[in-house]
This record gives sequence, structure tokens and C-alpha cells, in this order.
Amino acid sequence: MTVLPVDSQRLLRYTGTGAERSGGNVRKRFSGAGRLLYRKEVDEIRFQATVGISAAARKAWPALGRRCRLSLAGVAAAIILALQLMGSAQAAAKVIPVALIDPFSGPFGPVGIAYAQELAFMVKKVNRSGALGRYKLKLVLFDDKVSPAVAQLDAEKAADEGIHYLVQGLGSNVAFALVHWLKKHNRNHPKDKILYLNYASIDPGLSNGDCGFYHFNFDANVNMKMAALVSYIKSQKEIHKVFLINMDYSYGHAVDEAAREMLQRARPDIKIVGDLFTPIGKVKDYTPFVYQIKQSGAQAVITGNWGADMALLGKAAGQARLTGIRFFTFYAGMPGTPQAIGDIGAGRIMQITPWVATVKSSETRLATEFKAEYHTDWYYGSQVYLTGMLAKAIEEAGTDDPTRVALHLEGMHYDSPVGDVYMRADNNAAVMPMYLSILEKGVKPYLQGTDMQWRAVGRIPAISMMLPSSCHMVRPKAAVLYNAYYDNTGQ
Amino acid sequence: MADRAYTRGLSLPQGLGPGAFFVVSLAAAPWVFNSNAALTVLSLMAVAVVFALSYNILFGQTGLLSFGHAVYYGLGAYFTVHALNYFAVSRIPYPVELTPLLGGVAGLFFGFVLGVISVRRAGLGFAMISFGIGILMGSLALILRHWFGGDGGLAGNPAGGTHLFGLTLTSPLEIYYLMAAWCVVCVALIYFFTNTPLGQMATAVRDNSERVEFMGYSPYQIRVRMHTLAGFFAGVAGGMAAITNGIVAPDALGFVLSGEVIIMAYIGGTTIFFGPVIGAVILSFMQIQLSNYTNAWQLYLGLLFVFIVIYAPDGIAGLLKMHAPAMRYRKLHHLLPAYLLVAVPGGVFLLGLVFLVQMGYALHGAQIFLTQSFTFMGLAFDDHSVWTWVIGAAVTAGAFLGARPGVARARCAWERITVEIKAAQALASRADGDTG
Amino acid sequence: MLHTTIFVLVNGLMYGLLLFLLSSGLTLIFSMMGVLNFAQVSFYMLGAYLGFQLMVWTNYWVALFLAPLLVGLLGAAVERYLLNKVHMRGQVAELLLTFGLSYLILEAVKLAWGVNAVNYGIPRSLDFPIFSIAGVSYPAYNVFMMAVAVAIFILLYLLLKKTRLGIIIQAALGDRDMVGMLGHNIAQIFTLVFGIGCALAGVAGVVGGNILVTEPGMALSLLPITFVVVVIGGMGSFTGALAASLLIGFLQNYMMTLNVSLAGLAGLSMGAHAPFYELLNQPLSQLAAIMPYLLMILILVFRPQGLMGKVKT
Repeated sequence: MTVLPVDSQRLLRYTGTGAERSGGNVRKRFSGAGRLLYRKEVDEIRFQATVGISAAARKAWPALGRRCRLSLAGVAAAIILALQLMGSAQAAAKVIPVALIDPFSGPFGPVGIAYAQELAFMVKKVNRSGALGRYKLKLVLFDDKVSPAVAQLDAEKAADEGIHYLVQGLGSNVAFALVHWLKKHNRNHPKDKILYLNYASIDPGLSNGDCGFYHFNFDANVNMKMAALVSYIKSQKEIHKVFLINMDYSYGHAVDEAAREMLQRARPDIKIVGDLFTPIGKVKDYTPFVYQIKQSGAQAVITGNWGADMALLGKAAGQARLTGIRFFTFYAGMPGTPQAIGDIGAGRIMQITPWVATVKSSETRLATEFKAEYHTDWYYGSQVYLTGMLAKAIEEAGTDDPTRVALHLEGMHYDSPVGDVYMRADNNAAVMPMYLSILEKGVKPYLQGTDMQWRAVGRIPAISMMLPSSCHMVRPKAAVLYNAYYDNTGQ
Repeated sequence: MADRAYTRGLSLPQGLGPGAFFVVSLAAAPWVFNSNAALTVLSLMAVAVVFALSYNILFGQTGLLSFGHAVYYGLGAYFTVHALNYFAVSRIPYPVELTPLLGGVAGLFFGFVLGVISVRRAGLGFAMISFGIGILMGSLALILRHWFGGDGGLAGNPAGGTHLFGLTLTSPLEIYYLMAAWCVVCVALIYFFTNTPLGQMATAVRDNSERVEFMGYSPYQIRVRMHTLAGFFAGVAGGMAAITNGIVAPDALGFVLSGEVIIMAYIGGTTIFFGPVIGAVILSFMQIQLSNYTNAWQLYLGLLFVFIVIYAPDGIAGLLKMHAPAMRYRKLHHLLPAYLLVAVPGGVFLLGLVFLVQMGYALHGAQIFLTQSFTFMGLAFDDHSVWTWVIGAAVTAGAFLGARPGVARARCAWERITVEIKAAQALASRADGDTG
Repeated sequence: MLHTTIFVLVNGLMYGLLLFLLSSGLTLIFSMMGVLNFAQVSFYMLGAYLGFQLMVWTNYWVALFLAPLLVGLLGAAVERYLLNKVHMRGQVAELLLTFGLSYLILEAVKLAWGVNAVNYGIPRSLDFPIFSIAGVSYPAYNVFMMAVAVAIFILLYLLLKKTRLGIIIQAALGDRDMVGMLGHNIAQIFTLVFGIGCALAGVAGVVGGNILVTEPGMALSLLPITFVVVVIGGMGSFTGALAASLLIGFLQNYMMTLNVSLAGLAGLSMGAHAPFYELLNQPLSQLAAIMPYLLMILILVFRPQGLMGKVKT
């Protein structure tokens, strides 16, 4: 076992200055070329160790008893394995674990997995780009089954594992639970703060009454999406009657309220001719509602429905061959939904999203790359700038300390592949330009298994989503101090 | 069919061993698992134990297969949270530690009301009506947003209000010991209840309700009482969960949870008192821990459940109990060689199965991290190569076949010791007869 | 108003027949074997996915023939190798086995076809509007679906009442051993029945999967409503299942096109803090979707044998 001292001797040769060499943790100081050489070294050592051991074994082998031979072989195997593990562990940069708390099994599993794939794709991209310098992000999955209680427990587990970054998106119910958990945790562990990044829970409360310094929202919330939608509808002079249909729970009611209020303000001449809620996942035949829509004489339908409830509504409308009625949706583009609706949805269904695959070449490229790897369509935009902004904040802060990273995140301008994103500092909510797009046949690149794609028909500038916020941001004292220092030094 | 413990009722000394083990392991667990999250997991296991046992009052003891037992659990949890929030601001000094009791009262009330309308029939009729009630309540919880707090549910802070014994309920450890205490109290109550006349009559109703009717009892009334009681303990479990989580959401009343409690009770064993306890611990473990490591956990759960339903109708506890006579007569050593013979290829078979399943998920399931190769137990495999699959399948199938001689031998050994034990019993009874 | 009445009748009939299609296999298996097959909707899901896959590879008509066959074979295998083993332990054990099986089928489907909905559309040859009511068109495919449902009803009726096999099956349900003594291979007959029941689920999957959504969540989301149909109809009665399907179809469509609340219906006006305000002020159209469950509970309480059931369960 004389290999090990040699090992550390050789390692030290590549660690740079003498001052650094005397430091305890050699691993941290590796960078660039040194790391490459080091990897070769480990390979060499591993090779020599194998050769050495096998040579020794050849000589001594015949003299040993069977049991002795067996145990020796076992020890040798263990050493080789240990070296292997050591090699891979030492070569890595400093890893910043990021807990992803979302459902990966059960009824909501599919959506959670789709999100997670996009996030994993982006994390890999960021790591590869080297934007993080000596750091690397690593996703750690926690399956919360969209249960607020389980999500809290998952967050607790993540905290126990020393994770300082939580990412979650599915379910505003879970988001609220996490926000409350986070407040408690950060109060009780002042030295071990945790940062919560929400990429898809869009209840307006998260960036208003329940906002917080350690909690950032990357997706536009219901009110912002509705503001974008209404600013488009405002210009559509042929729309006089609007029908609202939503799912009967908090989110559906938030969409409904926002639509009524904002339409009233923007276009008082528009009449709300229908205002319906349906129990989640219970309606199998939407035709009676489609009939009501038709009878009401509406030119537009606004719905926040998602999943099967969106697909069935879209299908029913398509099969009824409704003409001259446009469906403005939040989530008709979710993976699987356009496929489930099929061709009959083309030309009828519109959606409001932060990006559209056909607008910019950088976006198209991203979508194509993702599809080549995962064989499924890219849907969400927020993952792109979430990972990008987190990486930028860590890089600017030069540390993975959540408080410092949070300070760099707030007020950040970020030029992402899907457009300019601004993280408001007054309520920690990102604003970005939004697109209104329509599902059309023959537009490329085709969505998986169809001959359709979303074609952008309108771009809504970020400014129209800068809504007033009721957030009272409580920033930590230490953070304020640090910020002052940071500004003074003019960095 | 293994003998049904309930029909004879457990005598006190018989339950004392497992009971003592249970209490000691509950008390000692925090020394082994001491992180905050682990303590919360333990608290949730204690909740699951009470919930599973309350379910078994219905299923194991009275023979009522319910597909909506989570209703009482969820209502108990909601009432507890409402109580927590009420006592936090009111001047009534009701201690927070006793709020699960209020959840229990809610469960008792709804268990009675819904029991009156639903237990007229046992069997599939009851299964269906409980299913309907479960679906209806699950939908209503989302529609009545004012009282149920919508999909976000309601939060309650167990740290507020008045407390007993100087507790503050701010640390997971305190909460765990409170849950453990509630768990022990509930388990003891349910245990002693099985020996009461009502508990005994319930078992009779399960086995032959017509005969009970001939004896002058009303099976309907017995079922209503049992349903009410099961509702009470489910409500207590819900209340415990509310305190542990500090939040309750409509999923607490949902069908998924109702299905899970069936699995818990059945995997553990419904005919043995401590069976559901084992099932509760296993399912909680799979759900809370295993689900973070593999997307396939529900497949494993399904396989385990189907295996139990077909081959071990008395659950894991039944498998353990099967060995009690062999142990008493010191015949276990006859079984061990055969068991070893099964265990080695059986272990390889299970490993192979897990290997194939994991590789299948890695190759085709919705995979989140794309990797070049599939890693299993620290080793990398090429999951795109047909040969990996062929060899994996061959090893698995080979191990399955390899376990056969062992199984045959185990069967032989069983037959042998059964005969021997019978002989020993006959001898013993003759000896008893001689002396008596 | 006249339009609405016609719409309620037509759409109610259509939805009712869809429900019957979905629950026919469940009824068959329950009435003939006494097994409440929890995995029925899982077989339905398999049928839809296989139908989709075969339609991609060949065409719809091949899928309509082959997919139910495959699902039926799988069902028969399940009966022969699994269900058979727990039959002696009674209905609850069988129910639990199929309950466990539904977990396995779900995972298998996710493994084979991924976790998202698939693009399972209606065949081109039947994708044209055939008639319309007040501007709402119906594709010819929906009429085809109704025809399939009616055909299944007639065929099953004939099979059970008029054929020798049907009579043996019914006798076997009454006294399995005696029919066995008479020289009939009971085990084989039960395997056949279960296979046919599953094949019916397969037909429902191929025909209904593109009207509804073909996704992994479809089984769980259809489970409640199919059970409701079977229970309201009277467990094991075909005519009952048909009647229940149509009843739910008409009632639900009627409620969905109405715009009054329970309170409005009773002429009540109440403050926002009155008890059950939210429930009573829900428009009926919103409660329509949960009405079947309420109906089921009422039926079980007041008429446990269901609409047309002969045996009390």
C-alpha cells in the first residue's frame, strides 16, 4: 500500500504555488489545466497500482492457502474500487447541490418529469459552458407527489443534506407550503439560510402578500399572464363577448378574477357572457359547455385549464367545428396536450408563454437540441433563465452563499436565449416579454408526433406586466450591510 | 389458510412481547435517526401506524373493505387544524397536545353519520359506497374552498396556544415524542378493544353475519359501531398528521390515500394485530424514502402487493407468525438450510429483477438525467446493448429456476416439522391429561 | 329552448353510450364471475394505447380488430395464472388482486409509451361533420362510437340469453361445482369470460381513447365513473348498466346546460356566511360532474340492488 503517499506527492506537483500547497484542502484549488493533468495522473497511479499488485501476487500466489488467496483478491478488488471512486470524486469541481422538489410519480408525475428533464438539460448546459467557474450545479430529486406536507418534509430532508437551493414549480399549494417552511427555517437557522427558486407556481400571492427575500419567482404569475393576454385582446376589435371557463380550485378562481377585472379596465365594452368552473378531472365530456359557449355568442374563450381538462375542452371545441371562436389558454402547450387535442385544435387554440419555438433562432436551436436528446418537446421557458440567472448570480457573488446569491439575483437583468429577463427587486418576481401564439398546421419544427407547431401572433413587452405589487420585502440586516459594502467598493 | 388470530382474540401475554418491542423501538428510534427530516419521517410513520390500525378495525376485524377511509383521516386533520387556529387566538386553555382528540371526535361523528348510511351491506356493496363517499368528499374539499382552504389547504401552528408538560412543539424531536405517545395510546386502546365483547362480536359478524343475527344481535348495529370507532381512530391519526405537518390539504381526503391504507394493512397482514403496523412502516418507507431514489417505486409496491395477495394472504406478519410454532418447539434449524438454499438464488433473482426494472426505466421510462450508461450498484452497464438485457434476463430466470430445489426442500422441511410439532403437541396434551 | 332540449337528448345519448361502452366489460365480468375488476380501466387504457400504436403502424380498422384481441389475450392470461389462484378466497381477494394489478399495468404503460398524452386522433375516414345542433357539429366518428356501443349491447345480450355458452356461464355463477360435475370445464369458461370482458375494455379503449384523452392518468380518472355506472345499474345487470349510463348521460347534460344554483332552484337567497353557502350557490352546471357520485350513494342507500339488479350485493 505504498502507493498512496506517492499519490499525494504527485498531486501536489500540480497544485500551483507553495502557499496553496501548504493548505489543507488541495482539491479545491484545482482549475483548468491542472485538473486535466491530474486526471491523467490518477489513471497512471491506478495502472501502476494494478501492475504492482498483480506482480506481487504472481510471486506470492502459489505459497498461499485458498482462503488467503480469496481474501487477498477481495482486498485488491476493494483497493481498485476505492481508487476508482477517489479518482472520480477528486476530479470534480465544487458541487452545489440543488434540490428539485416536484412530483415524479402518481397522477402529476408526467408533468413533473417533463419539467425536470428541461431543468436537467439546462443544468448540464450551464455546467458545460463553464459559466460557473469552479462550481458545478447538481440536481437532487425529491418526489413530493404535489402534496404540501410531503414537500415540506422533502425540504427538511434537503436541509439535512446541506442543500441550500430549492427549486420547485408544480402546484401553488406546494409553493405556499414551502414559502412558510422557508420562513421558519431561515429564522431558526440564521447561519444556514436556504434559497427557494420557484419556476412555475403562478399564484399571484407568491409575489405579493407571501413574497420573501429568499424566495424568487421565475414564471409570470396569473395576473401577469392575464395582463399580457388582455393587452393583446385589447387590440382585437372584433372581440366583444368573452366566455370564461376554469377549473374549480384556487388557481382557476384566480384566473377568473384576473380576467374579469382586467378586461373591465382595458375594454369596458367587452361583455363577460359566461363564467364557469368545473371540478378538476371530473368532466369527461365538455360538449355541453362548448354548446353554452356557442349559444353565448362569444368570440373568445379564456381558460386556465391544464392537463386532461384542457385537452378535453380543446377536443370538444375542435370536434364541434366551432368557427370564429378563439381559445386563449395558459397551458394548452403543456407536453402532451397539443398531441391529445390533435389537428382539430389547429387554428383555434392560442397560448400565452414566455417563449415560442419559432421566434428566435436561439430558441429554435434550444428546442431542437433538447428534442434530439430527450425525444420530447421543449415547453417551459423559465428553466432557461432560472439556471442562467442562478449561474450568473453565483458567478458574480463568487460564492454559493445563498444570501449573497440572492443579493445578486434581485434586480438582475439577464439576456437569456429566450429573451431579456428582469428580476424585480421589490417582489422578487421575474418579468419577461411574453408571446401569444396559435397552434397551426405545417409550421416547423413540428411538435412530437404531430404536424403542428405554435406560431407567434403577438409579442407583449415586459413593461405591460410590471404590475403594482403589495409585497413588503423584508431584507435581512446582514444582507443589507453586505450590499452597502458591495456598492461602496464599486465592484 | 392461516389461523385467524382475531377469532380467538389475543390474550394479554401473547401481545406483550411485540408490544414491548414496539414501545421500546418507538422510544429508542430518535437515537438512531436524529436528523430533523428523519424525525419527521418517524412521526409520520407513527401516524401511519395508527391510521393502518384504524383501517384494520374495519377490514381485518369487521370484514368491511373500505375504499374511502381517508375521508375520516382528512376530516380529523381539518378539524384539528381549525382547532389549532382557534385555540391560538381564543382564551380557552385547551392544550395543543390534546387536539388530535378533537380530530378523533370529528372522525367519530362522521364515522357514525356516514356509517349509518353505508354499512347496511358488507362486501362489495360497502366497498362501492365507501368509494363513492371518498370521491365525493375529495371533490367537495376543493369546491368548499372557504372551510377547506382550497388546494393549498390550511396551515396551523402547533407551537401556538397552551401546552402540557412544558412542551413547546417547536422541535421535531418534541413532536416525534408526542406522536409516539399518541401512537402507543392508540395502539393499546385498539389492542384492548379487540378483546371486548363488541370486538369479538365484530369478528363474528365478519365470519358469519347470519349466525350473529340468529343469536339475536344486529350485524348492522355492530358494523355501525365499528365504523364509528374506526372513524375515531382515523380522525386521531389525521389530527396527529396535522400537528406533524403543520398543514393539511385536500389530498388528505383523497382516493390515493384511501388506496394506500388498504395496501398498508394488507401487506402487513390484516389477520394479525401487529400486521398493519409492519405494513405502515414499509409503505411509509417506500413512499417517503424510496420514491426519491427511483421512479419505479410504485411498480415495486404493486409487485409486492400482488405477491402478498396471491401467496401470503396473511401478509408479512402472517409469514412471521407461521414460524412461531416451529420456534416454540425448537424446530427452526430444520428449516434454515432449505431457507438458505432459497435465499441465495432468491436474492440473485430479486437483484436481477430490480436490475432489469431499473434498466428498463433508465432506457425508456421518462428519464431525467441522460447518462451514457446505466449504473447499478456502482457498476456501469450498457443499457442499449441487447446482450446486457439477454444476460440480465438469463441470470434472473436462472436464479428463479435455481431457487426451485430450495423451495421444494423448504416444503419438505415444513411438512416434516409440521408432523413433528403435531406429535409433540399430542404428547404434551397426553402428558397434561395424565397429570390432570 | 327547443335547441337545448334536442342538444341535451342527443349529447346525453352520446355520452351515455360512451359510458356504457366503458363499463360493459366491467359488467360482464362482474355479472358472470362475481369479480369486481379494479383493473378494468387499466385494460381500457391498454386498449387505447395499443389502438394508437397499431393505428400508427397500420390503420384504424386493423387496430380496432387487433388491439381488443391482444387485450383479451392478456386478460385471459391474467385470469389463468393469477386470478385463478385467489378465486377460492372470495370476492375481496379478487378485488384486491386486480387493484394491485392496476398499479403494474399503469407502470408498464408509462414504460412503453412515456408519461405524456399521445396523439391518438379519430380516423380520417370518419372525421367529417355529420350533423349539427345550433352550430355545434358532431363528427361521424361519434355516430360510429354509438353504433359500436349498441352492437356490443345486442351481442352480449344474445350471447348470454340465447347461446348455450351463455347459459352455462350463468349456471356456473350459481353453482360452480355442480356445473363442473356436469362435465363443463369451468376454469376454461371463466378464463374465456374474463378474456372477453377485457377484450370489451380493449374495444372501449380503441373506440373511446380518441374521443377522450389517451394518457397514463386516463385509467384512474375513468375508474370512478365506470364503477358508478355499474353500481347504479345494479351490479351485473346489462340492461341496468345501459339504463344507468343513459340516465347519467341525460341528467348530466341537462344540469350542465342549466344555469341555476341549488339555492336558486329552491328560491333561497342567502348571505355569504350562511352554512354551505358555497355548495348551495354553485351553479348546477358545475355540480353536474359530481352528481353521479351522489346518485350512486343515494341508490346504494335506498335501493342497494341498483336500478335493475336482481341480487342484493
